Amino acid sequence: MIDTMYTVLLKETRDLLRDRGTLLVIFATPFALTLLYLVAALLLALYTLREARQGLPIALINGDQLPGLQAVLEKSRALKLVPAPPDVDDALHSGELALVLTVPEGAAAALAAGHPITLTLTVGYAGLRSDLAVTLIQSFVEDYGDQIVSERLAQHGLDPSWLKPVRLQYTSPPAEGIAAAPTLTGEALPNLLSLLFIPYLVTLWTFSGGIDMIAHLTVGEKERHTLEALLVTPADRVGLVLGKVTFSVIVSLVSAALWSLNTLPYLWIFSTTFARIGSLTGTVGLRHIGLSVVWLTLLIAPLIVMIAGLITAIGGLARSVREAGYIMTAVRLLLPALAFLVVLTVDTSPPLAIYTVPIIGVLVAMRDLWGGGIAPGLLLLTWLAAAIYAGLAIYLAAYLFSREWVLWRGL
Amino acid sequence: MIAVEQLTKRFRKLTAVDGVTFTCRDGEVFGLLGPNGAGKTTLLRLICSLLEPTSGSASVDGFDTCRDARHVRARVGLLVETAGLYGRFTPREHLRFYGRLHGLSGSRLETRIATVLDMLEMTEFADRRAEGFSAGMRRRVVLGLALIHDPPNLLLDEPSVGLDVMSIRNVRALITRLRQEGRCILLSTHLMDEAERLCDRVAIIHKGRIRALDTPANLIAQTDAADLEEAFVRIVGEERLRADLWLAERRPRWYQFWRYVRTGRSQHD
Repeated sequence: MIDTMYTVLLKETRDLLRDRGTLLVIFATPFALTLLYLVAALLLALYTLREARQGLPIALINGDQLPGLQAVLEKSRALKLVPAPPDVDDALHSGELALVLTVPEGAAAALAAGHPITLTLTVGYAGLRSDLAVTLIQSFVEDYGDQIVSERLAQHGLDPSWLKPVRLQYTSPPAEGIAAAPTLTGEALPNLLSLLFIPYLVTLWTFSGGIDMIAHLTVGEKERHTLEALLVTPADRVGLVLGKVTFSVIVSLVSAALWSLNTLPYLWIFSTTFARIGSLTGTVGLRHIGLSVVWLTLLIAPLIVMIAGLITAIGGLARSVREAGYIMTAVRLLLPALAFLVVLTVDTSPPLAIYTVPIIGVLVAMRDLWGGGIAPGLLLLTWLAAAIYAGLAIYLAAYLFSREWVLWRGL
Repeated sequence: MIAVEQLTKRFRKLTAVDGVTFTCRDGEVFGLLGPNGAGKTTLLRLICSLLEPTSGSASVDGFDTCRDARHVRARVGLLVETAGLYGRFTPREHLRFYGRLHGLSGSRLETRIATVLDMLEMTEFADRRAEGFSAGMRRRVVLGLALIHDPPNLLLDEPSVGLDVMSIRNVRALITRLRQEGRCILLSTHLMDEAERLCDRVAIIHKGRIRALDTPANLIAQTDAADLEEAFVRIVGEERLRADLWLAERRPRWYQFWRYVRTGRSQHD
């Protein structure tokens, strides 16, 4: 069996190494996409810096009505106040102006009388420039409003802190139940948005690389009419299946590792960004994310093997590569949907049995690992259960690969 | 030696092979003749244990195709009519891969590869990738795969299909040589000329059953035909006629009435 497995593995590896197109897509895509995203991010940053340095051109109409606001805008380096041209609409269309802020007539008198006023913001079509300008103006106008209220309160001898009597402070609850056990990652990462990375990671790791190839390795033999010659040899059928599954799993794991390596910086940026914006206490260290990714990779390995086994079985059942492809598409859509469901709905301290349910157990463990840590015992339980299911899936594939009604479908 | 006893294979309602019995001895070329869909390929697949029989049995050198499938496969070389190749592999690599699956390794495997390449005149293109090979080149490689483990029994399904005249002559010479080496060869073909030239005995199969089995000369004599082709047409043609009559008698009365109304003739006219 080992000899057969090794022979098939060797043959498939050689075949892949000669298939430069596929090789390039599998192994170069993670690097190429990372490079692409980095270049895009760099260009965006450079563009923003350049625009901010030059100052975004805005026109303030009736600015003399609100000298305070005009002074704030003039002080800003990112904005450049320019006189309103005769044809404002034309200037906005051409991008000469990023936006126009219009102060209504009699605004100063209205404010002095304590009445609210409405400023009109006319946004141009300069895309990112206008968006940047709008964000800045909103912030300046809010600050200006707060300043007016503070002055009014001060005039009445009141404390300006009365403006915001209630403040929010964010903190994480103490871990309970399973999460209270010593965790592997140590730090908690209770960020819902970052948890949504789990479906993304599972789909990416599971379906990038070798899994797509399995249909070609099994039903492809039918289509190439090479299956009969393969089966008429005295080679062990389990060995044949194991050779093909091992090959696809190795490719998947290598590909997953490459994706992990490339995803790491994004996960860190994403988590830290949302930690600030999304009101988390403190940011997440890169060390924590790196450690989590290592554990996640170990955890997902048996899942990849199991899915490879199942896809091999499905590939054997399919009449053609096209049919197998459609089935794969369904599985590819089903897995992230299941992952979303599990991540968002399964209780944070689920019963122990959940960790032994096929696929779901791994997903819950991944969520725990990523979201707040998991007890080593639970991780081991999940891994063992997943390994058993992986073995069963391979057995199913080998069983079907020796069934006449499966092998001769479509021939 | 290949022995087949009352071998039957059913696929749901279709009976592809129906109670076939024959023996192919060592050093004999046994021909399977029959029209398309007669059950020849299914019979070959049953003999090399790719399919399991519904009933009956088959054995290769005394090994039962169901119980000793691995022994049977080790002693059989199968050439399939529609066999394909891996486009990115050379003939040498094909032979190496299949040789390994047959348990060969080291210098024994390399010697055997060299022998097969030489035997089938493939040395010239032994290290070229199979993508872009002509039908004849592909056929030779596939034949090489059937011979790589030096099997004592050969099942050849339409070995001359897609070959040019020179290649056909070479393949026929090879089959004669393999017979002289004492191998048992089961040759499925619908080329009457080939069967007449190569086969020691011929079984004519129609709708899964053996309709006639004898030497080509005896079959020609029994049917009072000029050659094997005519003998074949008479045997299969009579069978077809009988089958048509049998069907006509069993057609429902409404069909007979409709036929009479349309043509003015009853089925007995």
